[in-house]
Amino acid sequence: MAVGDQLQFVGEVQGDGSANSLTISDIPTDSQSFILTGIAAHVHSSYSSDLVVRFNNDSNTRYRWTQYLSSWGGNPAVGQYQTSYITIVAVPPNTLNSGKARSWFYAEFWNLSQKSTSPGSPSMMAEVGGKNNTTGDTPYSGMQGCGSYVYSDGAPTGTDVTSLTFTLTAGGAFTAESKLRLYKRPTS
Amino acid sequence: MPTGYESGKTWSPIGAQPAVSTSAASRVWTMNEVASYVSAGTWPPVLEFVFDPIATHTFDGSTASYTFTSIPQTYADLRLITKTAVSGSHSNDYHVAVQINGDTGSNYRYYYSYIYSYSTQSSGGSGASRWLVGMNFGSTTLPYTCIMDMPDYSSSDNVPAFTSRYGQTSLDTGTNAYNRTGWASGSFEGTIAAVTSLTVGTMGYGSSNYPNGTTATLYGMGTAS
Repeated sequence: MAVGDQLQFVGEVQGDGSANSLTISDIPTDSQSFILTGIAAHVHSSYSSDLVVRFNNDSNTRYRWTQYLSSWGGNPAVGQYQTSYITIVAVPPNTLNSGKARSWFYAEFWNLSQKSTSPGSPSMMAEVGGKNNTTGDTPYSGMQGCGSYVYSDGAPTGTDVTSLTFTLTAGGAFTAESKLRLYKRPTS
Repeated sequence: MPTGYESGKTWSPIGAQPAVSTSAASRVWTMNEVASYVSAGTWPPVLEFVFDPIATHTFDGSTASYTFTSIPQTYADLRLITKTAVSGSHSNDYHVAVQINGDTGSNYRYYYSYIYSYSTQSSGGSGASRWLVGMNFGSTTLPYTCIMDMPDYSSSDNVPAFTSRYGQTSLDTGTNAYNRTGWASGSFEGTIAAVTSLTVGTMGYGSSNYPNGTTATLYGMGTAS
């Protein structure tokens, strides 16, 4: 983003300790370039959970994404996946580190709207950090959730992506401190 | 009834309104008027323009760090962009390091990776006295940039944390002068508090001051909830 771009705040969703999914809806279609920031944990006694995103809440296997995560004391986790969602980051249970453990990320989205100037598949990338089940802070960092809602896998063409649904795959709820914020760039 | 509207003016409805049959209305907002009453209904959200430069510091070559103080607590997220100037006089690379709230204790944990000479390298620190958010800057020919984001920095409930990405060329010459690109993340392990000040500097690596012309700009994004 060029310095001086005017970034518009689209909206924020926040956990409440009971919701397993959070949805940012009514995403404007007059831009194709968005920024998402987030920090999250989930309500669970012991396990971390993957935070995943779906476009227009489509739960079909129409997403392909990659990861490159550097873990503390371990080799990078590198992979490519075709799933019914795109994984952004594993978030820790709220019992970890006396409830202070979090994961966080910075993500970019492109081509959410079907403007003729950029007809590619809706796509995203995320730079992540945080914790999973381990006791230390920041056991990993890297890129994850870098992928697309793929037309060749059946993602509908000619349809704007106007909602992003974030879900914890382990079934727990977002803590009240979990916050996801979407910004829009004024131009594509 | 509230006052502050005028009668007999030509008006145009804003948004969905019942059909009208006359060009005159009994209640019209005037310029610079301040509302005293609001509708009981749900108002649409204000479309905010929020990527605000809070402050910029330009290094003159004589200092190794700078502290942004009194950071407004009104934004949702912070972004720090550090652009290092070219340097032909430095004998060592230098990092972009960050401390928060003037804390120099062993309270910083971070991890980084970068691509270098066709391979990846990663490492980190725990119990450190600062985060390393950008690695091995110091090109003699090219300026480089480090972009750091801190989500929910003004919260007293969430751990101060960051992600960053950066590109750089080391001061090495010849076959060692590979470009690098990388990223990092980190969290704060001290007492959780809102981030009100932020220090950016080399902080002990390379014993270097930032070259003259290096800039650090702090931006605010969004609105704190």
